Amino acid sequence: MPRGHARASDIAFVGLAVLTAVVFVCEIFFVFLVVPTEARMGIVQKIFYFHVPSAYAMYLGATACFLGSVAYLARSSDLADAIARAGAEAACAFGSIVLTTGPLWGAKAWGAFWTWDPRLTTCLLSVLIYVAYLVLRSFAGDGEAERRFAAALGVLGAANLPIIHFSVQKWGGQHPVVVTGNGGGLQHPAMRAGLAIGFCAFTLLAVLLVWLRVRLELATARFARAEQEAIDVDLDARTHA
Amino acid sequence: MSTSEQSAAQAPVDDRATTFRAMTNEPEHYSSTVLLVSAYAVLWTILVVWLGLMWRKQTRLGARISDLERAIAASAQRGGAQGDR
Repeated sequence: MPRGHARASDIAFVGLAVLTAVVFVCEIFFVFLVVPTEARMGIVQKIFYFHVPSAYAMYLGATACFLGSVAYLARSSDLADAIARAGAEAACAFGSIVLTTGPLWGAKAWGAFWTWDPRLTTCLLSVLIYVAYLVLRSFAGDGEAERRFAAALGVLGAANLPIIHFSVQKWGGQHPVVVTGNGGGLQHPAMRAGLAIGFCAFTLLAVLLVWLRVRLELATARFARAEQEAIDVDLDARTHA
Repeated sequence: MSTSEQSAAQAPVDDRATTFRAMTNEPEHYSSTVLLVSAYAVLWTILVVWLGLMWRKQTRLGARISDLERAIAASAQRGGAQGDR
């Protein structure tokens, strides 16, 4: 990458990090000091304002993994592989947040931490697919065959996303459908604003963390290649000596 | 005092010590504040752990770069010594 582009990329990255921090502070302030407490569930309903955006961030990570995997299968490149891997990590991290904050809310709302509800089950399945992806990448080496196999898994993982989304409409279950295209069930304008800021905050956070991870992965791949070249040069020098 | 607590208090001591009965039609009560704080703690813990893992990978990469720099410096010194001869 040319030095000028690298510097512009660094500035953009720092700018995004600052913007993410500011939006997160706004979200916390808004959710706890402006948004009214829900009438039936009480203060525990405030989990909603980062539970739902976390699920959305999980979708973003999974989509990045899918796009990176498809690009890698079409034409092998370090960038495509790095995007796929970073997306899988994001899907796993945000999916874990969804799967832990949801049951904490459910304990109050349903009287149980976990039920084998269609949305909960499909979400758990999705996170397990991305855990499998990361385990494969960590322990099976970094060869071309392993990367291709992982890319296929990344494509397969994305197939579950629409199932998670439409599971409530198709199979019912206990999970509520508050956020809909028809305006949803958020009665108070401040509730809608709190959720909107939450979506912005988690979108920025997901993009920031995926970008950070892609940069690290690309640097590692470039260094591994340089290291290999250095070893080859040294071996050549010894051979000729 | 709830129904189950009253019946437990009225039961003979020996019976209470040896019998466990499932609670029926009484939802368990959880503190909303504790659940909310736990959820926030989990959120930040997962993000910090992920950032920590990235930090560790970067530290390892830094160590490998240092190794390579040392190897290049040693190779350059060897090359210089051979040139002097």
